[in-house]
Amino acid sequence: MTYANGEAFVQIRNLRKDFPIRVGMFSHVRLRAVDDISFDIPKGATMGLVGESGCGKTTAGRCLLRLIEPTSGEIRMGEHNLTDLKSEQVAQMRGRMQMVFQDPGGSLTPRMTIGAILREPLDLHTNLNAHEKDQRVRQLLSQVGLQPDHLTRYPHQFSGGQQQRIGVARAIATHPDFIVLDEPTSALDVSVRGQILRLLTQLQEEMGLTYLFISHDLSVIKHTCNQVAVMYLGRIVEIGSTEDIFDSPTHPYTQALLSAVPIPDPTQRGKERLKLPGEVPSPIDLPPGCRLYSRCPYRRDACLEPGPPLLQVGDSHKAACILVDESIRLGGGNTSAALSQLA
Amino acid sequence: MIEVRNSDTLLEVRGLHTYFYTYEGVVKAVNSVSYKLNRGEITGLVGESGSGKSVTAQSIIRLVKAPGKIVEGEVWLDGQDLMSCSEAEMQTIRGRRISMIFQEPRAALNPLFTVGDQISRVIQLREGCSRGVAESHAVEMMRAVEIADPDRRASAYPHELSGGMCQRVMVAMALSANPLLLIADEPTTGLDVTVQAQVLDLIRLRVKSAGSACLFITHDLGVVAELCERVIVMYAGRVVEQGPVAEIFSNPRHPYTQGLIASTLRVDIDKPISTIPGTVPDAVNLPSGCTFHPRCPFAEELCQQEEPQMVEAGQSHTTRCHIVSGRIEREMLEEAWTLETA
Repeated sequence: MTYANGEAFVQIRNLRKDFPIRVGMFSHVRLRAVDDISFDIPKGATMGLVGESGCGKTTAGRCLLRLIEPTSGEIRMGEHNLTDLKSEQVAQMRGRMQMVFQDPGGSLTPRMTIGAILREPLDLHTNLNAHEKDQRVRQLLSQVGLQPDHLTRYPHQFSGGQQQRIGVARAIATHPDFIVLDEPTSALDVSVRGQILRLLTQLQEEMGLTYLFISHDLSVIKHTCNQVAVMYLGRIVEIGSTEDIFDSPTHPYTQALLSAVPIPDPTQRGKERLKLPGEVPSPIDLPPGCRLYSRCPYRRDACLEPGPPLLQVGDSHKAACILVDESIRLGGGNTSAALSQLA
Repeated sequence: MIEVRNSDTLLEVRGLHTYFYTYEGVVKAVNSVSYKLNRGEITGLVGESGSGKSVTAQSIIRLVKAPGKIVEGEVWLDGQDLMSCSEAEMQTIRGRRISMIFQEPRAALNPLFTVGDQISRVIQLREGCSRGVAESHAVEMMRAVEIADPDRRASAYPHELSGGMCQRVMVAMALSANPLLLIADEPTTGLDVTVQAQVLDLIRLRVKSAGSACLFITHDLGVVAELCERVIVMYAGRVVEQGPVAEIFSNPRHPYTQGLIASTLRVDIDKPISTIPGTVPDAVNLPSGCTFHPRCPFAEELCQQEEPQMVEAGQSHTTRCHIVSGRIEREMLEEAWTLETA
């Protein structure tokens, strides 16, 4: 799959992650947290990974950086095949791939000053001398909009927004190529969130960074990502450009997810919504068919058969729903309209 | 003084001050807050962390934890002054006339009892009925909040239910007492959006059918726009603007409200990412004058010196800003929020 701008820098193929869950003294069941996901991220682009809690988006992000070991599948970053590397080699690669975490306070060591926190990745991954490291740390602070006198302070002396700036500074310290942003603004207040999103976009432009942006918040995804993958119970159910996903959502889950987001405009109240009954079922020992079956308003018997695979909807747009096929056969090409006809 | 009460007004808060006496100094968490809640209406209380919205709610039911203290103010519930009630009287008001739903349903439920037990306990206390009657009533309540298979679920413990299910149980518990006032403190913040939509529908339906008033505390303007009739916006312990929901969203007058609306991202339209510069002020050392002035793109000298008073800004719409009151002549341009100020 190629996209308009350049070729894939990060390539994920058939990534899978199983967790064993103990059910008795000797027996285990398998929880497939990430089930056969594939996508590409071009250099300098942002891929959004969106879904509700338990859909496997964070697990996928961590597998990508090999912070946890994937069960199977292939991860390529540039010329490297990360899945082939031994753990020492992965450690060497860490400087090039970084992560920003959701809880800015919890991801900074409380006993280390900001200076020490920012120097640590430089100690581990660069050969700079003490003076150069000092300079780099100061440069990092100004890059993320903090003051030089903040160096001697401790994390608790900062607000949430400032703590997240420190988290970002630490992630970019070693000039990485790829950063996984795991809900970087979820813990922040609305008025501060914009500041962090702008900082991330600005750094991306300056440093040519490639991002995987994990979030449950569709409005944040819409405003930061070039491409979006929607996950449900470990699988990608829809993937495409941001316009594809937001302007013509095709999978019933994506449609429901989008229509459940409250719109901050009282005049839009009472608009028609696709509501899903019930909640996400337990991810243990799922049936082979469509994961949404138990909640889908359009379900039919064929949905219980293994699959469905991601079917082409547009140039870069794919959805894993058998109705895509049917609606194309019904003609019109407008899947959303066809879907409501089918219902 | 003769009480002139609008018959629609259920709760009136007047000049409420709740302070926290900490080692660092006095935190004025709630500073001269006044508002009214009407019967059958849902009022959204909006603000960022530390704005005092939760403490306002705790003050109404007089459950402010030390070192916090209600220093001054009146709270009238249906003609009764809650501030002069004895603790014993408050005990009967809490849970019967005023109920609360909290952000973390699992933490608010007792892990040692089944959810059916917990709901029927509330019913038993209120009605003084037998346990058996209360239990069957509890199952009915669980059915009313759309819990599937309520007979079986009634004997489940909180840890056996999902977050959304636990929140439904909380709603059932809070509403089983037919309260006059329901206070919901960020009830959907930890929930997924598809489940949030279900819980909001439920709260709307139950509040409307019971004719109670609801104070809905949230930081999400989207939820306010979908659910509420009125909005109260708090910043650093003060109410900076309040009015009908349509007014607040179409014609926000306070710069903070404007900034908040501008920085709320939307899934339905494309717009540049806006932001309010700076951060929420330190609660111990609040800025002089208007507490929002260090972050306000329209601030002038007067804003640093003098605190603005609440003034009329429209039909039952009030705000606290020198520009609205006409003390400062200046236009407030929407573009101010999209400029890079970081």
